[in-house]
Amino acid sequence: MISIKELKFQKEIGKGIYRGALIKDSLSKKAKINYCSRCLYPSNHPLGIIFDSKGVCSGCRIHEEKDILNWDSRFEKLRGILKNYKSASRGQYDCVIPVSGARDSYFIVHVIKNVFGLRPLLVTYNKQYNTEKGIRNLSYLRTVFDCDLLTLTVNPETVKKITKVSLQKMGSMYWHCLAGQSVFPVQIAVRFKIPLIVWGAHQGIDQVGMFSHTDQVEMTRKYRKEHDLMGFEAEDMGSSMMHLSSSDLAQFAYPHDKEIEKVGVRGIYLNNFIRWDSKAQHEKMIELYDYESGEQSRTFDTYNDVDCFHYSDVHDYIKFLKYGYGKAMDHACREIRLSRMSRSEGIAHVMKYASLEPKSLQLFLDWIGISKKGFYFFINQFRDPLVWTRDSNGEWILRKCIFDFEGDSSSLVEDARLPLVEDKCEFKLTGSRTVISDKPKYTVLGRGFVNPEDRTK
Amino acid sequence: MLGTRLIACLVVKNGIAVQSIGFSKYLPVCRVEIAVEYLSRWGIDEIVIVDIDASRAGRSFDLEMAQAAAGAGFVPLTLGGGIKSVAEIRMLLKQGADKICLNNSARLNPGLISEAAKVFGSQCIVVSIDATFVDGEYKVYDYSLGREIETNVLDFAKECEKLGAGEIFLNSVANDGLKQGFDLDLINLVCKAVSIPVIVIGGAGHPSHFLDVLKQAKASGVAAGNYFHFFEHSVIATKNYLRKNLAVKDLVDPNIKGKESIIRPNSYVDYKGISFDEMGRPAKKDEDFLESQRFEFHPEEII
Amino acid sequence: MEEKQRIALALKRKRFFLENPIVIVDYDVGNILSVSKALSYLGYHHIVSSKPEDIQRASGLVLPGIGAFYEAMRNLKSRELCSVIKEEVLNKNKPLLGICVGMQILSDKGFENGEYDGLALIPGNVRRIPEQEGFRVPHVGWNTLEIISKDPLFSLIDDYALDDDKKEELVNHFYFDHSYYFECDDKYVLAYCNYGQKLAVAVRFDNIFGVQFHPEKSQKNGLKLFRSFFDFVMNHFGSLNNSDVTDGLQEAKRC
Repeated sequence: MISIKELKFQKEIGKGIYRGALIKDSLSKKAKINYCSRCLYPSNHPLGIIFDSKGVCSGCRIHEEKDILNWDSRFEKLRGILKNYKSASRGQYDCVIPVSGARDSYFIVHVIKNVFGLRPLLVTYNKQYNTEKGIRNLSYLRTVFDCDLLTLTVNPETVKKITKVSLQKMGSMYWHCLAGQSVFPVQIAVRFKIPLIVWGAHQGIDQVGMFSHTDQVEMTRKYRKEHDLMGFEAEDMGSSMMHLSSSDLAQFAYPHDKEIEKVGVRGIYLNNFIRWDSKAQHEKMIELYDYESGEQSRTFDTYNDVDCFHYSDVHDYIKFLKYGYGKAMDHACREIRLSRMSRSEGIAHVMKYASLEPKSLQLFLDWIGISKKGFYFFINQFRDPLVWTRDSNGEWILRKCIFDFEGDSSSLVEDARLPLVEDKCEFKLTGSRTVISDKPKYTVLGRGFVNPEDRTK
Repeated sequence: MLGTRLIACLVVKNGIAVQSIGFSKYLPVCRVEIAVEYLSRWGIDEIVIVDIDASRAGRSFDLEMAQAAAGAGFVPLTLGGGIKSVAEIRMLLKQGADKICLNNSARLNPGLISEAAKVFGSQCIVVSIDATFVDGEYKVYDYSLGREIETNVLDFAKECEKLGAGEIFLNSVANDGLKQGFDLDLINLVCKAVSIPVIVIGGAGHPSHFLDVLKQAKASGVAAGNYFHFFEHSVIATKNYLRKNLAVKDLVDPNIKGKESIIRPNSYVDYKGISFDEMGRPAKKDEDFLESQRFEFHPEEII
Repeated sequence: MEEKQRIALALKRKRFFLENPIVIVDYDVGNILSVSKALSYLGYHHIVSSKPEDIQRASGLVLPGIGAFYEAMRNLKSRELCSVIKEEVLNKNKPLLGICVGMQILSDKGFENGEYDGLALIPGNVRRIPEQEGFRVPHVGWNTLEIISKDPLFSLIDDYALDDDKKEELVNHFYFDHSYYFECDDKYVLAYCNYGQKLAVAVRFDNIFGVQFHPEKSQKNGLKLFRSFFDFVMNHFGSLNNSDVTDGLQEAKRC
């Protein structure tokens, strides 16, 4: 078992992983991970999760609203909000939409532009870890919807420095992506005086039922700091050891409160107004706009995250090393709640993908310039002691309660089960627009880039 | 003139702040210290943090959480949850609490109220009363039992005042998390029954709900648990809404000119000139105004 | 203030208080963490201590306090701090700021649940706020002040701000939470608060200051009060030395 000293150390350096009572409880042998009686989410979910007396999680309970609420009237509410933000002058944009080459971006732009007739300004943060498929999806997003797109590309050397610091401070290789994706739309909204930002799904609602759909929750810097950025804003990332100064982090600085106030920036989430179903939405976008899907190494969902080498790969593996589960769990829970997947099928997916080694780890390590040993040194400091323990040889192993889905609550599981409305839950694999194979190499954004190897002699 | 306080209540379950609905459904929201940091930044007048697991688990309010919360903002903090003794109160006050809140303990051990009031002063002791309307009267609700007990809320409130409580924190179980407004009858009854300050909570979903309490009852503070997490700068925008809709009083003292509103602005950001949509959220500003902002520079406030 | 000047001043504060720290007197009467946090935020190096030797080398003292008069005095006495504090404050003219009950114990006597002696540093008595219709006791919440003398506590506080209708609104409010108040002669009063009657809420006798409200809980007004008071401490301790400012500017240029 992890010693008290190690736990305290973890608490000190893992400022973003304060878990108060939980950490103390983990010292007792009785402390275990519980799983939702319906969907499979574990009690150590990083966003926080509450199980009710029937063992069903808050995420499932809020998901039940999807079949209770009147979505037509909610759609009209959205229409009312968007109507207020439609610009009277023809030159102005009506809203900002943060997009990428994946993740419901097509659906969001489709709804705002084609369904509601607004004029959006698309913004995207260059994650650096780009796949060719992602670049193509993004380029075609811009063209098929005929929109303007602004991109933030931070100097790669700076991004590498930031990522080294984020690995050290919170065991994350994705901090810069989360920070950039969440701050760039706000910076543009302030700079261009376009107050409305339209997001897709609020992850807190989607996964753990953080809010009711009727709360109509909006974007807050508070949520961003805690849940997107794991407690570390740009001002907290400075590191003299890694020579990371505030000027390096300038691109990630959130506009201050007075600027937000003066423009009246508001971020709304479409999943409060539209009955959100990511799989169905993507399939519609494949049909209408030839959105390209792609096989992922650590999950069965082929629609989300095709634009990034690492999101459903190394980054997801890190999540498994920390919390004992990964994206396959998120996707299985989502499909179970939508009555498209049975609990046993979900469990099979989770077990299959959970501990698979990532395929693109070396690509990442080469880019950032650290060794595999160094990588594990950083990540191991953030393993949840409720999930991981060490055997007599010092090897990390999962505790016995992990993936114990039935436990001693089988009757609760039976009571919570949802009848299936679809027989199969299958994800399409579309073709690619070009014949070039997806080599394991990041693609730099923008046309005109010539790969040195392709240059004719 | 003493202002009426706009207060945030953080209900803590499993070590995190949660939304509470009807005292039975809970939704995870965020860590306590992050909530305190942002609420403080948004100019909240006071924060009450209640750990609803503490009593049942047989422990007191977590001291580390108290310390983290106190270090996160520059606002008065009231901490409650499982407090059973003067020693525990002393520890919490030392860790940064300004006041402590007694719920179950006040009923099971009324002597604690008077003892604590003597040692620390009444101003440190808040008694929290959860009320539910049953058989034609408001009865005290015992959250650990999950039902009402045979104690009349008004009688109990008066008793607590006599014992030395400094404030009453009054919660409506039925309105909790419904976003349909406060129980004004309950509030009026209790405010009339005691002469110590009363803070009320339960039912906020729109800025007009707070306005109703301010206009129709004599509460010293209006609190909300879930509401302030819903949108950016929620406290500031709500204060602005209230200030716009409440009559501003001329100052009585001839030595001091000017006016006063009972809602106190406490942040650099004030949302002046804002209007509100039907949900009570800040509406889009005038396009001419937005255009004019292109050439305006707004510095950050540095003290 | 210009950026360079601000940096220079911040450096000056840092150097001054590292050598001559503020001492927050720890006599087990709550509230220390919040005061400490406020001072850290404003860049004032300080120590929390009940040791006489620390109090003796302090540039200024803070007596925080939440609680009852009797307990506060008892705790000071049991730590044998009364004479040390009096010595530093009366004979060495050290600035002292008492907060809430820390202000009340500066009086001659306190009448909370009995009659108890205070430190007798500012002539006055502490009595219960009288019950009046429309004025509930304890006096808790945000209330505005009638400021008699601005320096050095209130020099950064704006009394008025323009509200939405461009009317002047009194905004010099602070957070109060007390059932007893300091009753003293007008000549010691820096600010009153109207609560049924005029209550003295900020008092001063030479280098000894007391505030009834909680600056550490009063958001930006409270921070501004700390800023002006501790800059006063810095300037009071040694005379304002111009070369310090120049040195600071040089260092700022190098950063």
